[in-house]
Amino acid sequence: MTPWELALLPPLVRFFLGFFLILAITASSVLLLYFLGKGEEE
Amino acid sequence: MPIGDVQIPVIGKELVIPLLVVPHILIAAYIIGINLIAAISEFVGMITKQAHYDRFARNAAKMTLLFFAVGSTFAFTFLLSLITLYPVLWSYLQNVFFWVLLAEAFMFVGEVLMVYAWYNAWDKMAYRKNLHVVFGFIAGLFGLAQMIFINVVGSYMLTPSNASATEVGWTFLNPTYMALNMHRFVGNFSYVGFLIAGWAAWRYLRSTTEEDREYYDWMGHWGIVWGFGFLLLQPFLGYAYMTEIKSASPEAFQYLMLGAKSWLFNGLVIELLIMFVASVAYFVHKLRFAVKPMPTLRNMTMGSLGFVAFFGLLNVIPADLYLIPQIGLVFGEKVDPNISLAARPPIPLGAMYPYKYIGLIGLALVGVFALALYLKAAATGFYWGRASRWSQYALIATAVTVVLTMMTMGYARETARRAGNGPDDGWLIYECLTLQDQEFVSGGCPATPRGTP
Repeated sequence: MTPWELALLPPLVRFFLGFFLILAITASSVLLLYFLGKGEEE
Repeated sequence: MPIGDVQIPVIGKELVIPLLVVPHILIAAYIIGINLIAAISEFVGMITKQAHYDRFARNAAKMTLLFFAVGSTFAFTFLLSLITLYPVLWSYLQNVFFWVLLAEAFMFVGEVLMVYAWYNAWDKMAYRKNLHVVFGFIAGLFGLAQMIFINVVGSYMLTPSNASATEVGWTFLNPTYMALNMHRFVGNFSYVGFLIAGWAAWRYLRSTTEEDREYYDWMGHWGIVWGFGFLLLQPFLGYAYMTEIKSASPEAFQYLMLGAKSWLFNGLVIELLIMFVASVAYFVHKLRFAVKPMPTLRNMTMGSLGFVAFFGLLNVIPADLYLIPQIGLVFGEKVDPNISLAARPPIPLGAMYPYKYIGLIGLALVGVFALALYLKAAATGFYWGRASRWSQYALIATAVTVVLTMMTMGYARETARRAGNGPDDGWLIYECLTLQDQEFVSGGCPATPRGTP
């Protein structure tokens, strides 16, 4: 990582960015499937 | 031909991998677990002739099929990223584990074919249920085989065997391989059980018909039995796994248990406490609706709730107040990383021996007791569709917590490879391939073995 990248995203910020991005990516992919499959018979 | 060093601006290449892998694991573990639970449900439905088992299994098969696509997409993009960003690591792994990865690819094909056939033939084979159930079990076994094959690679990266890469037996069956298999096999059931319970609770709270309320109330019960039942085994299997890490990669063990990342295990015991208390509280509530009233049984379960909270809180007490150094949450001295089991840490009640052992064993024993009482009541039946809102919130709490637990433990396993190579570096393959420059080291690396043990 270059110094300006480290200044822009310190390790701690990168950790939380990763954490919330993971949740967002997983949740959005699951929700997308949920809405696509909605309305079918159960 | 030289290998290019591809860098990802701003977020860095180290973040790209978890952004793809963690969603993949959260979905893949779900697929493996739900497939097996659904197949068992269909089988139970076939034996007992109760329609809700079949309804559940069919919906679960549909979800398996849908999620398989997105789970595989993450797997594929992750693989592409790994090849691009860590070419030396991938080249090495591909050479050592060619047969494992080839088998893994065929397991993907086998599973998707079987899941599709299983779901698609549900009505067509309605009168050949005993054969149809086999489809579900075979699909589940393909999924399980996927996990078992990829665990070879995952466990090897943390605890590579001190043997030549051509020694297939030593490299494949490395020190933590079996422990990881057992921990993940049981974990998949528990994870999916809690997710089923959480989803059922959500649907129960939104149900408008009596039929749906009954069904989702039952589904919450079915999920929590799987989730909680398998959770009881996890502390022991996790302990066995950590013991293997301790003997094979001691610095990684120390880094996790007493070093800079020991807060991960403080987080884990908080998550365990939430899942145990929420599950047993749900049991206490549910016992009010037993067809045959069981007040004594309910009182005993309420007592179990108290014990579970006590043992859970005993686990939560940290060994020192050097809590999370990364964010400055430090209020006292760090415990000596070389402390013996018999010595007293800065907070005596936070000692591993005997308090954490008492806490973990106590949790598991009381949990078995509470589950046995609940299953005894379940055998005589419940009135479905009458659960209160807060009992459903307890189920949702377990589902949210189990996702966080998966992320905590996944992160723990991978971050353990940051130990033992200086403060700014780590290992891609422990004591073999460095993280930053992707360079092989000579000492102890399987590429240049010290001799076959």
